[in-house]
Amino acid sequence: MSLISLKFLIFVVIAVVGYYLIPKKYQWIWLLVFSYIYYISSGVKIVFFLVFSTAVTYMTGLLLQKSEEKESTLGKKKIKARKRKIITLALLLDFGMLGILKYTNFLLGSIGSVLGSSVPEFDFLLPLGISFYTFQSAGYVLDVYWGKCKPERNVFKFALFVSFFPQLMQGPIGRFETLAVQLYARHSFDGQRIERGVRRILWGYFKKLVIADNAAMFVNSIFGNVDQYSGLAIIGVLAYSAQLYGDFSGGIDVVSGIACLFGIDLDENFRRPYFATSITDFWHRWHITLGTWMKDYIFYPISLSKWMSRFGKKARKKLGKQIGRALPICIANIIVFLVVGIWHGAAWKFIVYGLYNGLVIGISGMLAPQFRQWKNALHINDKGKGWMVFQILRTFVLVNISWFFDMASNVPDALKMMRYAVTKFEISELFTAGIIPLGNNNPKYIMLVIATILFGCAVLFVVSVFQERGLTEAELYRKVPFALRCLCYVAILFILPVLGAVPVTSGGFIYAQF
Amino acid sequence: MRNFKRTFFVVIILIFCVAVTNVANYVIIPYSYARITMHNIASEEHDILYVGSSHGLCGIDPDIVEENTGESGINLCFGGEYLRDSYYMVKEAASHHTPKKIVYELDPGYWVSPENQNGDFGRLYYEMPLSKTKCQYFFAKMLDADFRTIIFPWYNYRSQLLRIKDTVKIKGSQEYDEYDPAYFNDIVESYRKSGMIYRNRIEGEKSFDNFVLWDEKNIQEISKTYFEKLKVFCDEKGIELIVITTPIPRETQEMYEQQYADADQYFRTYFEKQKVEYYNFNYMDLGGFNRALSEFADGEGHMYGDTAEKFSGILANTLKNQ
Amino acid sequence: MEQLIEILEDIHPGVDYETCTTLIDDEILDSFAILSIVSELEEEFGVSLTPVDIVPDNFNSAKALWKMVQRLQNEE
Repeated sequence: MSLISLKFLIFVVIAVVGYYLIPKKYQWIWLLVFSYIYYISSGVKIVFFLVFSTAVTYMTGLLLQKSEEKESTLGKKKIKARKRKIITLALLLDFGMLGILKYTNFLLGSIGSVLGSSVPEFDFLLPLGISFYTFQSAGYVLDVYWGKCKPERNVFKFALFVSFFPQLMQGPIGRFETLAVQLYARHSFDGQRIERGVRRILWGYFKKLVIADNAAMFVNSIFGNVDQYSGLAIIGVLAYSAQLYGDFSGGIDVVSGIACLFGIDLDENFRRPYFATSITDFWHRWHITLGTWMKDYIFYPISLSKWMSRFGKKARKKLGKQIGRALPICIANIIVFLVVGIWHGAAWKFIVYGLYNGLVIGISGMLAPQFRQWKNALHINDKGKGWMVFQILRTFVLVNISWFFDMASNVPDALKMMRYAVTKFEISELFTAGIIPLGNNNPKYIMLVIATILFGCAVLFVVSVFQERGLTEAELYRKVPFALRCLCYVAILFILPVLGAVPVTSGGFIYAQF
Repeated sequence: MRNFKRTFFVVIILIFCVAVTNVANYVIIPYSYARITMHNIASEEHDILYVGSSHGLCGIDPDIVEENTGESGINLCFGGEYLRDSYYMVKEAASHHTPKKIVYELDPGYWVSPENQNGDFGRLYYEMPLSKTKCQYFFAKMLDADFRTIIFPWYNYRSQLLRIKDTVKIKGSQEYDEYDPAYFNDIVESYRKSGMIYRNRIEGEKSFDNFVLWDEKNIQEISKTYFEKLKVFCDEKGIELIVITTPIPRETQEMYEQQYADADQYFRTYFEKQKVEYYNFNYMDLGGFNRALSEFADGEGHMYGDTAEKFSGILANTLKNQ
Repeated sequence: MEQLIEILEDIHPGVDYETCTTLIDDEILDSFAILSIVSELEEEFGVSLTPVDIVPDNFNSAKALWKMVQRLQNEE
């Protein structure tokens, strides 16, 4: 069910209205039923994968607890080994399925090109949301393994945790500790909550339909015809900055707003990423739940593992304290970002994307003491506003470099575009006939679309500044009375059809295909 | 009290939104002959219903067919009409009067391209009067559409904002109330009462827009679904279903010989399985019928009016000799 | 404890470790810094940390860190 379809809107309205009419103790069951209706509507066959993941992680949680109960009789070491086996099997099954569906063709293709032969291609349809619920359920199972939370005994309650429909398509990736308790709790109707949810949903649609979908038209043309629009490489990547952020964070706002209507607060996934002062900071503001998932389940475990410790000790001996201490962390970081890259898709450009991010963070982490020295030597006030602006702009440039690898068709095209970005700039190419699919090649129409994108970005910027400054809901309600707020909501509602673009990808959100 | 005030205010606002949208619909959505077509479906009774794309709209003259076969017909073809639309139009028509035959004009390009949600995507639905069929049509097509298409029907017609004066004028006129198609007559074409559009011969370069080449890899399952639904419906009601592909310019066919041949082969096999008669006039002996580009308004295959009249004579004979 | 504060100041200078109790909550220490600290703790105090130990409660202040180190030393 597309987030923009009428069907989905009606589905949500029915779900929310019913939610507050039924007895509160059945609310979680209602959510479970609707989540499965949502999932089944995209194809009965693929429900199998969701059920499989749910079953594997549910049983693993219980098995791990059972093992712990036997600790007194069998001894700590034996139980530890047994638990290790259980968790390894669970993760292999869970991620194995994701891996096979998502990466088989890529692996076979790469092997084939190395061997110089053609390989069979499998027609795997990626089940809706598999990249997200696999990570979420794997996180649960690891939390149980480490004793961070107790396993859920009720299989239906657990099934709700895995399949909760607002977050199924594109996250945010939730944690059992914080999400489960909300899902199973009883929720009373709260008018303020409804307003908050509706506001967030409208804002999400604004970002997606007005900014992202309009920018997408230019992005598709410029990235799809690299040589034809060589003078627009910079504009293309900037448009992509706007599109990706509008699309992804817009989609997250819509689903978070919907969850809010049910009384459930999902984890934040975005925090004004383009205000980041470093790539590290960027990943604390962009796709936050993926970042924290990687940190807690890959970065720390790898960094704290025995073999990494041993490696670290050797590195200290051979390369000195500073490098020796930082090197294991850098390597773990690169591994994490390789995984992030691969998570984005089965293509070499994503591996480069991941490596790029990993290296920038790793190297700047290793050289942190040096940077401090240089700043002192140049008398740079790193607490001042000027420095902060410099950091933000610098980070924005670094992020845009990574966007080339994200959006271009492949690595050679990405490199070509980067070359064009610094050698060519031809704004007149923006008015080439056919650059966008609508408007009958009328330059006035192209100007209108560009103006819309800029208007959307301006509104987004102003709102972001207020949010960054920490404007609370209470303060907002004090400054803007209810009637005026409603008029604003209506204005946004009408802006969606007035300025919103017809989605080029038949109403899809970019991250929904993961 | 506060909550009541707020709820009341919200209700007022919603009513206001509905009012604004209705006004916007009136002034922005241009007059389309789809309105006349939908009106005729309900008010007239015909032996043959012609459904299909703009090729059929320009190429099939029901009056000529009636002259030759005695069977009256109405042209329900429409630019952008996919099988799903044809199916519900047929159902709507049959709810008033069951026809004897349905002639489906097949343009292979429609089977290998997804329906885009712009322009007249929801037009036929919008113009259909409220009925049981319209409800079914809603669930079949509009539910999956962008919510803006249903809640703000004017959304797909924003480009018509500049023609507001014109639109308001015609909608307030007698012509509009009486479903008079004279409004649509201009130098390029005129709209016949039979539903056909008569393209006038005019000078100028022939365009090649909206051209989708056949490629079996891109086949849309939904086309097959709705064709089979249509076949079942016709069988239930005792309606004869015939499929045709109107002739296209010989030059176009020669340019893409392989693709047209592949399409023909595919459909021949498919319709044989479906036990439906299929006439592809591009591979039949048409006597003296001239298929040169000069007889068409464009390279894509829209016939001039007089060409269509000639073709309709051939179509009539084919239908007679079935 | 002084040794610990020295380590902290070496890895991330400019913070008053005697009084600050929001090292994690205020994002003063990022994951790089945290792992660098862990590396030093393992080197200096011979303790071994697992992912379960990397929680805000243990890292929000120098005192909390010291408490954790002592606990881990006792467990060994």
